[in-house]
Formats: sequence, C-alpha cells, structure tokens
Amino acid sequence: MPKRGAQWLLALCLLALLAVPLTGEVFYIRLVTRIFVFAILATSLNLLVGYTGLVSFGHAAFVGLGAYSVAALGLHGVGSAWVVWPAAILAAALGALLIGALALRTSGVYFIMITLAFAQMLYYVAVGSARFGGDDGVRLAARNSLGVLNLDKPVLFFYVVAAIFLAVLFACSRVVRSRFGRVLRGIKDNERRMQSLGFDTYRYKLVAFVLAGALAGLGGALDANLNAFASPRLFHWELSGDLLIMIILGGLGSIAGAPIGAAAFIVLEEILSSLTKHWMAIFGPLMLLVILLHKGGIHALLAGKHER
Amino acid sequence: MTAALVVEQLLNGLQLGVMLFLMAAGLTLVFGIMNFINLAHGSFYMLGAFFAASLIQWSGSFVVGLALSVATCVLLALAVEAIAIRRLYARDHLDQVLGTFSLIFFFNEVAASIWGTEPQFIPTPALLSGSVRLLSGVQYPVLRLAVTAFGLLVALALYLLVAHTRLGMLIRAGAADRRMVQGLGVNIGLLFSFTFALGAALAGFAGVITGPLLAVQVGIGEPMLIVAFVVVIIGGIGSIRGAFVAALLVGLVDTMGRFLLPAWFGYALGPALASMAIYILMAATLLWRPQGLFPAARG
Amino acid sequence: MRSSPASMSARPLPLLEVQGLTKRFGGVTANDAIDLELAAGETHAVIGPNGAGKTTLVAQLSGEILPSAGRIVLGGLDVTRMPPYRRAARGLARVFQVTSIFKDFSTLENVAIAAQGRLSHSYAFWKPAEADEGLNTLAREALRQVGLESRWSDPAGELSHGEHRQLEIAMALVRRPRLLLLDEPTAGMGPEESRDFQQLLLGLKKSYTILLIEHDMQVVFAIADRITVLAGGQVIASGSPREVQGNTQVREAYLGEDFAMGAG
Repeated sequence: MPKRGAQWLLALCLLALLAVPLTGEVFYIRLVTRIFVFAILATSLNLLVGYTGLVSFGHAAFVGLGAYSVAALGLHGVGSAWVVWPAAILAAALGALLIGALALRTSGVYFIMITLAFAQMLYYVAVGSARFGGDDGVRLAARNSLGVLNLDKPVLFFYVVAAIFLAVLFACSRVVRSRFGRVLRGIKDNERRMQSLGFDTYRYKLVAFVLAGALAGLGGALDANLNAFASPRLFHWELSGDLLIMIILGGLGSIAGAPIGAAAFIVLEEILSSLTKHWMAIFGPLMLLVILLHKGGIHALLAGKHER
Repeated sequence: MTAALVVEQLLNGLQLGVMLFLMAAGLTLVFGIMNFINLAHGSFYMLGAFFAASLIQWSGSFVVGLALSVATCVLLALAVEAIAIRRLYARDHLDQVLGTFSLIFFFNEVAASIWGTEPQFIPTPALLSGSVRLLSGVQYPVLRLAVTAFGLLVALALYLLVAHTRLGMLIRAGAADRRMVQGLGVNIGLLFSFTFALGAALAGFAGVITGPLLAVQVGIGEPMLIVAFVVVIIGGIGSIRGAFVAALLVGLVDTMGRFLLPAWFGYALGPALASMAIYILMAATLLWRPQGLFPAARG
Repeated sequence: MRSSPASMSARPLPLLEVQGLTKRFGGVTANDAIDLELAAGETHAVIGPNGAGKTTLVAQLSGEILPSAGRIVLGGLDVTRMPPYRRAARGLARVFQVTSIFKDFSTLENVAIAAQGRLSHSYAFWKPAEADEGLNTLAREALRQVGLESRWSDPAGELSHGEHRQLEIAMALVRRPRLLLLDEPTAGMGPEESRDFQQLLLGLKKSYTILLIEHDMQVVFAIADRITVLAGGQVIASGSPREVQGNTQVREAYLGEDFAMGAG
C-alpha cells in the first residue's frame, strides 16, 4: 500500500493527465491517449509478470491480434466499436488460449523463449500476408464508431480511452485481491506448495494468461484506432520487451506500477528522441541501469518501500 | 519441381542448419553453464558481419578480415561481459532478459551511427565464386558449399574442444551441474568469461561467413536469434548435441517448407504456413518432450 | 469401496495402501517393492538410516515423481498416477521437510490459502479474498490449535524456524485431511523444540491419521502405533514399536548410528 502522500501525488498526476484535452493541443492529447493505451497493455502484462510470476516475452502477440482484428473487420466494412472491440478481445483471448496451453507446459527460461517464439511467428505471418499490406501494415479509413460518438475527434477518443483505462485498472485491482488473484500470487510465491494444497496451478495460470491476453487485445484495438493503422510491429518482440521494461520501471507487483511505468517510458522516449537522432544509444544503457538498480521501480520510490 | 531443385534446396537447408548451429551452440552453452539468457547474442552476429565488411575492405583479404573480425568480436564480448553481463548473473531471468534486451538497442544504434543504415556488402572471395556441378543437372554455388563446409569444420572443432579437452570437460560438467563445478574450486569467473566469448566468437563467425550471401544491415542479428532460440528449445537447453540435431532439423524444415508449402498449398496460404513451419515443429516437440530432444542434466 | 463377503468381519479397508512401490533412477533402485498399510486413525512411522529411500518414498506418495512400478491406493482410490493437486483434493496433506510456506503473505493468509484449497474452485474474481470471513475463521482456528494465533498478522517469512513448522502443521490441519504426511518434521529442531513438537503430535494423534517420516527416535517411539523400517530401498521390518525394537536386522541397519532405543 503506498503511503498516503504517494496516493495523493498519483491522484494529482492522473487528474492532470485527464485535464490535458483542456489545453487544446492535439499533440499532447494524442500523447496522453497513447500513454493510456500503453498503461492498459502494461497492466495486462503485469497480471502475468508481477502477480503470477510468469515472464511472458510474447505479449505483443495479443496486442497484434487485437489490432489486426480491427484492420480485418475494417477491410470488410465493419466499423462499429460495439462489434469490433469485443471481436478483438475474443481473437486475442483465443490466441492466448492456444499459445498458453502449450507454453505453460514449460517454465522458467523455456517459457520465456517459447512465448517469444510464438509471438515472432505471428509477426512473420503478418509481414508475409499481402492481404494485410505485409511489412507496411494496414491503414484504417477511419476510427471505429462508438454508437453516435465519432471517435475521429481527438478529445472524444481521449476520454473514451481514459474511461476504458480506468475501468481496466479498477477491474484488475479487484481481480488481484480476489480469491482468484490470491491463487495467482500464491503460485508466484510458491507454486509447488499451491499444488500440494489442491490447486490445479496449470489451469489457473492458463486463465490468467487468457485474461491478460484478452486485455492486451483490447489495448491493441485501441492502438490501431489511435493511429488508424495496424502494423506488424505490434507483434514484434521489441514491443513485448518495451512492455516488460515499463513494468519494471513502474514497479512490479503493484497495480499502479504498470501505468506509472508506461507513462514514464513514453515521456522519456519522447524527450530523448527530440534531443538526438541516436537516442536509442542512450536509452539502451539507461534501461540497463534501471534494471540493475530497480529496487521495486518508481512506485516503490514513491511509497518509500525497498524491495530486492 | 525437379530433382535438381530439391537437391539444391536440401543443400540450402543444410547450410542454414549449420549456421543456426553456430548461433545456437553459443546460446545453449551460455545458458547451460551460466544459467544466463542472452538476448544480445544476435548483436554479435550482426557486428561480426559489420566488422568483416570494414576489415576485409581494409586488409584486402577475406581470410585476414575473417580472423580479425572474430578476434574483435571476442574482445568486444570480453568487454561487455566485464562491464554489464557479469552484473546480471545473480539476477533472475526477467532481469537478464531485459538487461540484454536493452543492449540490443545500444548495439543497433551504434552500428547505425558507424556504418549507416544502408546495407553493406561483403564481396565473395574470388576463389569461392561461381558454381560447381555436383550431380547431373545440379549446379550449386561454390560459396554456399564453402560456407557449409566452413561451418561444419568449426562445429567439428567445437566438438573436439568440448569432448576431448579438459576445458571441454569443465564446460560439459558446468552445463550438467554448475554448482558442483563451482564447488570444485574452478575459477568460475574465467570459465564464464571464456564461455561468453566463445559464444560471441561463434556468432560473429557465422555473421562473417554468411555476409557474402546476405546483406549486412542493422538488425540482421535478431531474426537469427529467434530461430536460434527455437533450435535451443527443440534441442534442449545446455546440450550441444541437441543444438546440432535441432539446428539441422530446423534448417531443413524451414528451407524445405518455404520451398514445398507454397507449391502444395498455393500462394495464398503457402507462405504463411511456411513462416509458421518451424514454430509448429517447436510446438510439436514441446507436446512430446517439454524439455527438448536432448535435455542436459540440470544442476 | 470394495468388500468381499469374507472380509465383512475383518478389519475395515486401510486408508492408505502401498503395494510393491518401486522407483528406479537409471541404475539405482531407490525404492524396491515397498509395501505399506495404514488404517484410519493409525499413526505410522517410517524410519531408516540415511539413503534408505525415505525421501523417494515421500516424493512418490505425494505425487511429485511417478513410480517405476507398484500402486498407491488412498481411501480405496488408485492415486498412483495422479498429480499432487489431485491427491491433495483426495485428502492428502503434506508437511514439507524443508519449510515451504508463502513467505510474502501473512501467517493468517498462509492458512487461509490452505483453507481456500478445499473449496471446489477459486474462480471468483471480484470480492476481496482477505475479507472472506469463512476462510479467516477456519484459519484462525487452525492457528490456535498449533499455538500460533498471536502471530497471525506477521509476514510468514519473519517467523522462526520452529514457528514455520507450526505454521506448516496449521496449513495441513485446516484442510481436515484424511491423511497427514509429515516429512521429517523435527529436522533442525533442538531438544526442547522437539519435546514441544512431540506434545503437539500427541494431541493430533487422537483426531488424525498420520504417516510420519522421522529420524528422531524419541518422537517415533512416543507416538507411533506401528513402525516400518526402510534400508537400502527395501522394507526390512514392520510392526509394533516393541517388535521393531527387538528386531536384529533393524539394529544392524543402524549400526554406527545413534539408534537410541527410546522409552517407548
């Protein structure tokens, strides 16, 4: 539990972000929308990594499946968010079920490599598919429509995404404290013990994997809408790695950590890339430093805790 | 679909397999002995190729360029190991994965700064140019044969090192039971540095000799790395023998898949299936043997 | 439940039956055709010198390794090939030799998780688990039984070694197990702690069926109804404490070890 002061600070930051549309600057509105989308993605991965102890390096697979569902339905003239977004969630959940069922038979390094490999497989399929523009990806004619709401308007889209983010955050915070969440945390702490207590840990991990994948699919659909574009890069392991770094940056094992990390990562990326063309050469070692020193991430810093 | 074409593709598959083995051997050794997962392994493949592009041009000789490139890779690997990698040995896999992942950014960007983003080319050595007639109707590029042969030679050398020297014995022991080897008072730091450098040397070497065949560009290491992971998973972590068998298997399946599947399933479905072929192979192996074909005993 | 006319007047079906249980690792036979029987309510100890195969036996009973041959029947059901979580669901509760608790959870929550394991499923995603008074009450009761209730809010990782053992027992008891499998519970305990633990076991003996793997002969002779002796992977003796004490083969197996013939 973060200290009261930290809670107020975070709430203030959130309010500040929510007020950004008031500035009218489209650039910043888009930036913060992007932060919210990645906050959803990072939170979904945190369920696996921070709470179940499953280091998945293939989470991008489900982001891509969500985004390409939007593109696929768009190509067939289906543009209603009420249809497309649930479809994206379903497609990602199905992918997670298939990949998870296989990958969860392994653990440790095997699991990391297998999730990476499966996601990359989807990347190559996407790159190779002429139907979806191959390497260039698919442009969407317009964002999905949410009933009467025209999401092509930046401010409207911003608040829809923000609302979804808050809903996801709230839902996840309930899930991790529920009986199901307790089983996941138990598995992370001592899986062997959980098995000896009568829990079918494989099945619980699979459910968590599918849940996280479904949320990532939603995030992917929102990302495709944000950019009006679905690219194979959304399947790429670089995205998977970025999401993991966000979680470490923000702090594992706390629900607020993932969104904090996402925000910090994106802001840092923006600042550095505007300073120099070769910002990656700085970003890389900087991330390495973060990993060597992380001690619970930004969230732990705020809360005054020291993990590790 | 002629017999000649099939033979040609089989040879290509063999060549890819040998290259994959060189990549996978380093990965599996580093994992087996140091329990360390290194995502930046692909960077040494890329850097080997880049070093060669420059050094071959500078020295005017392919062989000299090759030797110097591999040596540079080794030196670089030792430096990276001392500065960064070493600090991650005691960490959990998540930290290792992310730490080495961050290094990829760094290496890619530095390479782009030095060599630019345009592809570089390594000229085929005169001796290895042209093609040779293997069987009736089968013309095969000398270069590719040389690459395969060269790769197999190195694989043989690696086998001799691991199976017939004291150092190799330490390596095998370390892969089977790391803690035991540490307990025996072996200078673990040296062994780790050596293993890491050996892995980088193999990757760099693979990058150099495939250089004439493919363009040398930023980011060429990562696709190789992923497939090398597939090889290691199929072969079993820590096992060189497993890496060899799996590498040949993967190389053949991938090459033959890209060749046969579009022919069998048409050009709508074929290429997509071909991309997935080795992953389906991996999935099938996992269903049958979750620890890979030749899992090394774990310490 | 099988019963034949001839056995109607015989003793009831044993709770645990181990028949010809064998485990081979390459060239080594760690367990060789082990036979074992436990009646409900019995306290049965398995003893033997180091390397006798006790650890392998426990691993096979709990389901962590699969036998090379033989059967394990728990409550009339063949569990030989069942994974650990299904045996736990059938009433087997194991107390680990090396402390295996949830160090990042509170003491109370450790036991609550164990209690939660008895529920048909934990696919409940909304209500906070910590607020589940049903589980908490069961957990508090189990902690009280082992004398650990004052430490309920402390992180389990901060408990002393002896308290860890108590916690492990609480986690086993809260599940109302049919069979308590205690794997060298007094390992690492000093003489006074062992005495206290012995008292705890004497209390448990009245309500539970216990299979005790143990080294401490004092404890064994104090509480066991029957004893099975393993040596070299085989059963070399089985019977009441008196019978085992008097068995020359057993004495030989322990030659060189401090085989204190306990007061019984």
